Amino acid sequence: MMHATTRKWIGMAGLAAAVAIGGAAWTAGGPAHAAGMEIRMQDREPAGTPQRGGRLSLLIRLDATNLDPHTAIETSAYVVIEQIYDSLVESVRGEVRPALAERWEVSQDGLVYTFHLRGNARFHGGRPVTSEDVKYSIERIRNPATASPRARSFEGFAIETPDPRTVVLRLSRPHAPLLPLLSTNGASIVDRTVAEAPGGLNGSVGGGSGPFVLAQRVVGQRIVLNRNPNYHDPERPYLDGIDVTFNPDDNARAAAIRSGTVNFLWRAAPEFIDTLKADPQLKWYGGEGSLSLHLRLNVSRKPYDDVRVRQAIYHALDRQEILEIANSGHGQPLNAGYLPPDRWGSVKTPIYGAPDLAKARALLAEAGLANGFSTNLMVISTSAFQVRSAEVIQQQLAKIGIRVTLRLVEATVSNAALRRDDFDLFQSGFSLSLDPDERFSSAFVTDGGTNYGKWSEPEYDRLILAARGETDRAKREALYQQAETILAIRGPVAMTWVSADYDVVRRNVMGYVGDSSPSYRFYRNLWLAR
Amino acid sequence: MLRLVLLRMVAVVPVLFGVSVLTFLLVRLVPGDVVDALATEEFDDPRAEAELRRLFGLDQPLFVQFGTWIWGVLHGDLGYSYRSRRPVLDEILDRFPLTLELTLAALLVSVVIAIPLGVLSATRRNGPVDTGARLLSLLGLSIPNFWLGILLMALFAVHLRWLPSGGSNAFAFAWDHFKFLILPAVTLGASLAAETMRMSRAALLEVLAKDYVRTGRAKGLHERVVIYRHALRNALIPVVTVVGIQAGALLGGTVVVEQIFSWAGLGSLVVRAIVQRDYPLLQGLILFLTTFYVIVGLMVDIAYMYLDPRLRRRG
Repeated sequence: MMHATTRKWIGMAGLAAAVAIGGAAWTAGGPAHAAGMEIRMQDREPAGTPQRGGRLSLLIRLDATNLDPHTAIETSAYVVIEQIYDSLVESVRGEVRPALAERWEVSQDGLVYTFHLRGNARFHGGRPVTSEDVKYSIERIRNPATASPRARSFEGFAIETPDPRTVVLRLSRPHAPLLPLLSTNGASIVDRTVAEAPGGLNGSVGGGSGPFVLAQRVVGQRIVLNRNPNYHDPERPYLDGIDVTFNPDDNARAAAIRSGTVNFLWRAAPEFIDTLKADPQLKWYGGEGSLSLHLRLNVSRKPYDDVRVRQAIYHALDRQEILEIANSGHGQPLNAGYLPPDRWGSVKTPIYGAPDLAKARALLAEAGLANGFSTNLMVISTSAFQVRSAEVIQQQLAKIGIRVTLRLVEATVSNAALRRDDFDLFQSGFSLSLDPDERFSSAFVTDGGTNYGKWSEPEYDRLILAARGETDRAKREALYQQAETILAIRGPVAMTWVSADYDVVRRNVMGYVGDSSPSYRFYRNLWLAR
Repeated sequence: MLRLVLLRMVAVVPVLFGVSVLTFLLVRLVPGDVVDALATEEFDDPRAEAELRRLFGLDQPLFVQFGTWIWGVLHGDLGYSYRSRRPVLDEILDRFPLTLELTLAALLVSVVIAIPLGVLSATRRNGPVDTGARLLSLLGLSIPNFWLGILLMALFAVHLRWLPSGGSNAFAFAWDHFKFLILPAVTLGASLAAETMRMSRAALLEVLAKDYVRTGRAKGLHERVVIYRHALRNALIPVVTVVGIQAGALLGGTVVVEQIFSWAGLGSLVVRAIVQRDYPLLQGLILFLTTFYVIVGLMVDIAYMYLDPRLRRRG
């Protein structure tokens, strides 16, 4: 569950340029790792004119237990949901674009959003998508009986439906993350008649208006999606359908794409990527990722309440080494905030570099812990790369006299412990979100839902609140950079590294345009060369 | 014989009740519940958490939860999975045919290899065939399932491209279905065969030393009749026991092979239920598997009676 991602964006400055020159290297890894760090988000050669027809056979890791877009919480579910459902708008590499709404206006004061729905969008059952459906969907998310994990984000505005094709949202104060929020699959517009029928949205019927229709679902075995002939874009999708199957074993997944049993392998494991890259029958994409890893310190416990102890740890870590060992170097070290330096809102210049052990020891001595101390580091046992991260951290902290005992637990056990603030150190990770507000708020703001250890810093809170209300993109980014700097210097967390993800396809799969924001809406552009 | 079968069936009831109570308590002893399992970084709403616990009845006292569940079970209702929100029985019945099929196929592979090899081995004791077969069985016992599976996959799926690397298809008497079954069945069958082969060899050797075998030979019976009609039949009883235990274990424990070959059976469902703390699903699964295990045990007993007339009379 730690891999659960939201489909969100963080600007990818530099990405377009990197793609244009055919996959530039990250600079962070140094030349020795440049080959492993290559980024490729689409084919270098133009793929030609899309052809209609054929089915994609897509292998993902785990079955989606819940396909209701308003309550789903697994990445595997997001991949499927984004094919079945549309939202009001969508994000493509950080840019909000029309989806069910063909255009929209935001009032000067940022308080009134008016969306104009396209006239040709229909649910899979045949009903046209109207403003009432938009209203119903948002109210369904808010309804406590739905128990949506994201209900809180959808509060703070009133919904009006002056006519079937117009939706007006009235805010009490400006809220910059609203459009990215409405572009998520969690904000999918659903067909009320399906949602309220027995079985609801998690049955074998999809209540969406998206490019593909849920045709069959055999739990644990396959999800069959067929082309929606009435999709609002008459050209797309090009494929006749997508057959989704599941396999959690990385070895077997690699064998499946090499043998041609499937033609799209979603998120190949980094350990296999070199073999897969070398196979002439395959093409790979990726090199960017969306999982940000870090070490969380429980500031409600001694000695982590002392900022000098926290800083000693921040200076003692060698983030590059952690990345090398934990993920074979596939990713980027995080030497500042949780956002990698190429994303919108991130701190561009590193705050940490090579470990400064003398400084770390001095800080510990200042805090009265010259002889170090013993502590526990909790890590999720089923996540191999997180366990490896924790092991490297254990070694690195030993150098300044901190004796770390690893506690390997299941994700459910760690979640329960975190909620009771019952931990010393926690090897943690979360996925990047389309808008940074979500993670900044939930994980670090005072009383944030996932602010384990209850760190509280008024200056940080003020910056995040101000950024939320700031509609000027440049000013907003500057606020986030200030907030990230506070986090990095005196916050409750040592950022360590961000993953690189890879998708691998057979040679005849065309039209891939990746989006590590992350978004999975590009499957409608895929086609098979025959 | 019928009486014996009936008696055994009555004895099943307390077993099932005991297993139900134990499962119910044990799953709740594990730290964390389904809401903790759901509670990722995205789940930052305490109200939704409370609502989910209420929805699942986790806010009720334990005895109320147990009472509600057992009452449902007695009415044939195993409840709903917390995570998929589908009826538990549907979840199980969707996957059971695949598990049963893989189990039977693996046992078939195993028996077809093991018994003839065991007979050859025992009758040509210490000869080259025996040595070869014993080495092979040692290999079969020591190679872990997942590794053999990956090797077979590399050869037959990636290199030769004769078979798909994984997946499963709705049952049909067609290549499109059976091509998915071959690799997992052979993978599972191979290690079972090793065990069964050693058991049949040992049992047959023991029987071949018996007086009646000497008598048979002395009165001039053809060696084939001595071995297949007299010796083998008596040697099969411990073999049937082993195969029966294997069948029971396969029904609930083929997780690794299921995962490697994307075979949507019960094993991976059990793991999912445990990891996600899906109490009703896990309780239902254990109850179902126990019932089935007991039935297999009963069938093994009946097979004994068929193989050994002395047991029939005792009943």
